[in-house]
Amino acid sequence: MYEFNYHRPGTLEEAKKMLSASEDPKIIAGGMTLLPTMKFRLARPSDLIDLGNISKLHGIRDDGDSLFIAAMTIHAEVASNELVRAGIPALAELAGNIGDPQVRNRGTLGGSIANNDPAADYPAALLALDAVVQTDKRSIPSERFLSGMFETALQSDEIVTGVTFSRPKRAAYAKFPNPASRYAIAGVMVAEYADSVRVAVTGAAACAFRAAELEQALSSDFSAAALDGLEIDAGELNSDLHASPEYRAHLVILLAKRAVAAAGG
Amino acid sequence: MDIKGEYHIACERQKVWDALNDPEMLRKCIPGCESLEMDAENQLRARITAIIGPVKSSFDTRISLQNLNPPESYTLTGESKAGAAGFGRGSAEVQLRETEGQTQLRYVAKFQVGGKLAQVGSRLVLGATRKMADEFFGNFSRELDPSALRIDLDSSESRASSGIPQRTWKAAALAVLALLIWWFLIR
Ligand SMILES: Cc1cc2nc3c(=O)[nH]c(=O)nc-3n(C[C@H](O)[C@H](O)[C@H](O)COP(=O)(O)OP(=O)(O)OC[C@H]3O[C@@H](n4cnc5c(N)ncnc54)[C@H](O)[C@@H]3O)c2cc1C
Repeated sequence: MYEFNYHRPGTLEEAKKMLSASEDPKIIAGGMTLLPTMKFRLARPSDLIDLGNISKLHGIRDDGDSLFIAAMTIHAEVASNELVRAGIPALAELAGNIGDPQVRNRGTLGGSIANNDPAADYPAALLALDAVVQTDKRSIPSERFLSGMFETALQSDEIVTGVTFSRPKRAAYAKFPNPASRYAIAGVMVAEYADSVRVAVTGAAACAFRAAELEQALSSDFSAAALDGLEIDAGELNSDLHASPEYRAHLVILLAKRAVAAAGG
Repeated sequence: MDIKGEYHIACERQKVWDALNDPEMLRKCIPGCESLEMDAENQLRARITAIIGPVKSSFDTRISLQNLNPPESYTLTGESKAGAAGFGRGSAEVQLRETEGQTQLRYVAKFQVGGKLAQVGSRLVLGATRKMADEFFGNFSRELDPSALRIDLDSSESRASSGIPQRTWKAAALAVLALLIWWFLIR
């Protein structure tokens, strides 16, 4: 590693001050993505601002129709927390299948969504669970927050404080993981609400997206059979050494069916 | 797949051509370009900073001007090496046509990755190339004519139906190179 300044503020206000006072600062959560990037010399921030000591950024709260999960909550906690398991079990399940135990015990919700990796799991949950991202400045609906590949609506000095997930009637997440990293080659979350069904796809394209046709089919009939014969346009899907666009298109329908079945549809 | 674009610039063709051959103008218009120096005739060396996700990295890129046919057309080629992981190469054929004191600028851009990098994410490369080309030629045209008009020729664009969000690429194609190295190393 090369030299950088390390800060560990105790409050959001302090963190913001440090962000504006440093030359080329970077927020660090669990470091699961940021530290390897720095080791490869693909980033060289002058100052790291560690959010770990800010108590406001920890914790999970049940708000009735929704669950609030603070930004620094690690994946292992989302997976095991009683409020999440009772309120949105599909979300606990999703978090429990991220990466490996080391990653789940360091990686955070805030770090994952701020990074918006096209193969990450949480972006699917953000879209399917009609989530709103809370920052130190504003509330951002998930569809606006996830703006592109590795891109979000966040300003450079904006800090994610947490995410509000709407509680669905039922939901499930199914993914086809990369066997090495467990990142999603494709992943689909379906969620049924009183007046709508939401289907979100991750891993398949440059950014997670909602599949409108699948949502329509499931709105009138929440069953795996309702997806028979539907297709996803492979034209915009990712192609890499793991899977072709056509294979990913196939996986999306298959995983959507599995998710619907797992949700009891 | 090729990426095409066209701009209408309210400016004489000779002026547009001169600008296309002016290193200072190119530096201003290449997204993320920090410095650009003339190495040899029609050979430039550029330092470009790419920011994408956690990656913030600077690259040395060689840019060359080829197939010069003043004041009508040339090919702009850029190449970057990413060590053992491979290389990226981008090119844009530029054509100028004069109509009633105005200039029609047309370009066809390509981006290619080679070596191990070629195994990862060709989709990502296409999207980034489109963004890079749009940004460069958009900057360039507006620099000469603030109200320059962009005409969309890219027939390969067919999203709408799938619901996949329009990509709002801020980074240059080289950012994708950094990203690919990153992906390649971690997965
Ligand atoms: C081997 C491995 C396997 C993995 N497998 C999976 C997987 O299967 N599925 C999956 O979804 N993910 C996976 N991940 C990603 C992991 O889950 C982390 O969520 C991700 O790496 C982010 O890590 P972090 O929370 O430690 O954030 P960091 O690495 O500390 O930060 C990441 C980025 O977010 C910014 N940031 C962090 N917190 C905030 C905040 N509160 N506000 C604003 N910006 C912020 C940082 O500045 C940085 O740019 C894997 C990672 C590894 C290393």
